[in-house]
Parts: sequence; C-alpha cells; structure tokens
Amino acid sequence: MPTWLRIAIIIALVVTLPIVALVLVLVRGNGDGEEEDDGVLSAAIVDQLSVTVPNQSFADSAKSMLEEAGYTVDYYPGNVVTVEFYRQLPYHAYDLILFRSHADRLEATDEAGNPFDQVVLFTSEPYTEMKYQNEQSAHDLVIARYERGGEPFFGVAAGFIEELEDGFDGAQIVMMGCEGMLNETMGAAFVERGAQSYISWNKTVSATHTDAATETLLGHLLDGSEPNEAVAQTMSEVGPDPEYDSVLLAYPATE
Amino acid sequence: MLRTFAASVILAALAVLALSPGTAQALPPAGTDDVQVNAQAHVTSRLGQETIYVSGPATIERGDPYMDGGVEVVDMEILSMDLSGSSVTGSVAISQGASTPSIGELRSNQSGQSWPATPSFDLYVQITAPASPNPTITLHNDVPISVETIFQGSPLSITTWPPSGTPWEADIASCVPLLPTNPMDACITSMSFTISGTPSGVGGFSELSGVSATDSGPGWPVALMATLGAFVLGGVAWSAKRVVAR
Repeated sequence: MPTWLRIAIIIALVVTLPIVALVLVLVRGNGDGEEEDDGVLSAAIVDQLSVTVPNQSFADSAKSMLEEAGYTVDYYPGNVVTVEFYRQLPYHAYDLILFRSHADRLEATDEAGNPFDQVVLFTSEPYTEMKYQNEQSAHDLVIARYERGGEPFFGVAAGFIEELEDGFDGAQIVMMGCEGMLNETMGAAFVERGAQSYISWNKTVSATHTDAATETLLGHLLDGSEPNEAVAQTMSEVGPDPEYDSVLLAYPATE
Repeated sequence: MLRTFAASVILAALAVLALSPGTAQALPPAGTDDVQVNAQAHVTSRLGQETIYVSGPATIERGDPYMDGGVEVVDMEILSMDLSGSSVTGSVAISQGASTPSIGELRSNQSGQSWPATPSFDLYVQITAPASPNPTITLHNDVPISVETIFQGSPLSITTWPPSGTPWEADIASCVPLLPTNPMDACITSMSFTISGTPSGVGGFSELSGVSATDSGPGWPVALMATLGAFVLGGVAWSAKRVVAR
C-alpha cells in the first residue's frame, strides 16, 4: 500500500471516528434509548413516599391489580427517584404511571419579580446549587423540603415536565401527593407532553387516604372507566380526605 | 356620674384581664395526645452512614400545668412510639425505649404569660434494624437524645400544643452511641422530626432556588473542538513520523 494512502487512511480514521461517535451519542439521546411500544401494557409505581411514609401493602396491592389486568409493572422505590429518573421516565413508554410522591403547590415571586405558581413533585435527590444550574435558574427545578427548615431536595416543577425531550404517549398519570390539582400546571404539563390524563388532589391529603382512594380509583380505571368517570365513582365511594377535605380531580376535565 | 362608673368598670375589667396570666390561653391541662411523627435520623456504623426516614404514631401524656421558677410548666412523657421506615439494608423500627422513659416538658418563656412556650424532650429509644447472622438487632441509647423545636438553627418557641409541622431537632454534640456497641458501632449523629395532631399530609414545603442564569460556556462539541483538533494534528504528526522513519 502506498505511503500516501496509509497516511490518508489514518487521517480519515482520526477525523471520522469522533464524528461517528458524536452522531451515535446524539441519535441515542444520552443514555437510555426509547423503548418501543410493543403493544404490551406496562405500568410504573413511582413510590417516592416509600422513604418517608412507606406502605408496602399498597404497593403490593396496586402491583397485583395491575398485573391481573395484564400490565407488566415496574416498581421504583423512593431512593431511585432523582431528577435524572424523571428525565428518563418518558423513554419507558408506560401506559399508566402512579406517582406515590410528596408534592406541593409553590406560589412565589422570583428575584426578578416574576410570579411563579406551579405544582412541584419531590425527588429524593439532595439539593445542591451546583447541579442543573440552567434548570434551576429557569425554576424548572426548585428546592423541596419535607418540613420547614428540613433537609433540601430537588423538586421537579411543572415546567420541567413541559421541557422533557420525549412524551408520555397516551399514558394515564395518577399523582397521589398533595395539591397536585390545586392548580392545573402539572396536569397541563403532562397532557402537553402526550399523557392522556392526569388525576390528583386539589388540597393536602394524608397518606392513609390517598392510598385507600388510589386503590379504588385504580380499580375503576382498570375496569375501563374514563378518567373523569373513575374519579367521580371513587369520590362517591371513599369521599374527601376526612382531615383535609381534599378531593380527586382529573385533567382535562370533561366538557 | 354614670359615665365615670362605666369607665371605671371597663378599666377594672381590662386590668383583671391583663393581670390574669394565661386565663385566655393557658398551657394545656392534663391529657394525652395521639400524634403522627415524621422523623429522620442520620446514623453512622461500621456499615457506613445513612439518613433513615421513619414515620408512625406516638402517644404523649401531659400533666396539669404548675408553677416552677415563676413560669408555667407542663410535664410530659412519651408513652408509646411506633415508627417504621426503610434503610439501605432493610426495614427499621423505632419505639419508646424499654428501660428509661422519655420525659419532657412544655415551659412558658416568661412569667405571667403561658405562651409562647418552649417544649423539650430527652428521648430514649429502641431501634430494631437488619443484622447478620441474626435477621435483626435491637439497639438502644443510654445517653439521652435531647430534642427541642428549632428553626434555622435557633430555638423556636411555640404558641399551641401539639405544634403541628414545627421542626424538632436533636442537640447532639458528636454522636449518641447505640448499644450494644458490638457488632455495629452504630451512633446517631443527628435527628429531626415533626409531629402533627392529625395524619400528616403527603405534601411539603418548596421554594425557588437562588441560582440565576449563568453562561456556562459552549456546549460540549464546541468546547472540545480544541482537544479534537489537537488529537487530529497529533495523529497526523505521529503517522508522518512513522512514515519518515521507514
């Protein structure tokens, strides 16, 4: 092989290999590739509450109900619920997601005087100023605490869900935490990203009541009831939270 | 005459109200409180260190208020505690210590005024944790875990009992050893919790971070251009050198 040809091949390899690698990384989307929707029903139980208010019997019961209805179920304990977990969640193409999570409606004014009013889902990832700075400055990620002055964790605001690269492709979302429907920001964000519906509470709710009500709700959803219908049936059976008077609402609401 | 009499009556009534300590809002009388506890404890041991979250019910017994040092005081005791949670190695349960009661008090901050008041407890607990070769090990503390209501590092007075949602923290200098020492050498380095008289909501408190937009420089393909260029040039130089050497 002539010398010039050898040099040309080496130069070509040196130049093209990094470009090929770059293209592969961009195409695969930085990690998990999107799972193909193969027609098999799948569901996720995201049990962020398991670190503070564990209820294994709820998790077991919900999993059992879903499996009996033909779903494959992935259970995620609270300690794996991080910012990156939320970012990757759409790639699993779940048909139904139960978020058993602390949540809060945050109404505030930022340093520039801009109003902020969104629902926030808690993660179990300890907060630091040093990570996700762009998303923090956009208020897509906020600080979340279980108690005033307590340890800070990252909270995922509705804006974060809106900005996800992939969508929820017709999934039904049940967010079992407090105030998930105190305003419509989180519901609108999930539906904007392709979810079929989003169901949550309009005020504070206790773990006991949300666990009991969600089991009932799940039964109606799995029986084929539409989200608004399932919510109405559930509320007529379990009633509002006895302590906080909160009720389940669905987004989008029936016309 | 009538006006003067009416004014005197009103002034007298106001004086009685002002001089009657805590008649409107006294410290609570004797009774029991069934509360919900959400706690977190940072524990170190030979297995490493971990923050464990537990929750569950507790029952607190209160005595009648009495005067001590010129202020009102209510003695309290934790009758039972049934907290559970999970750790990296499995389920953890915390209950009231078997041998030493957890005694506390609610003490008015100043004479002649019931509220605000400062609560405190010396906790003695029993912890059941996963172990090996036995499935579990039961640990307890002999040094009290002294807890009080604290906000942002400063003692926090309360104005109602039970103080739902108010943070409590343990005053631990370095660590409270959990006994028996062997085989785990476990030790509580910090503890905080909240109590509420009603079932806790699964909410929390969120806030905007103070992080503002910063220019973190170009994205990685652009940022790595110089490195990529150097790599290419290096490859070319190495190849040329090999060809010349032949």
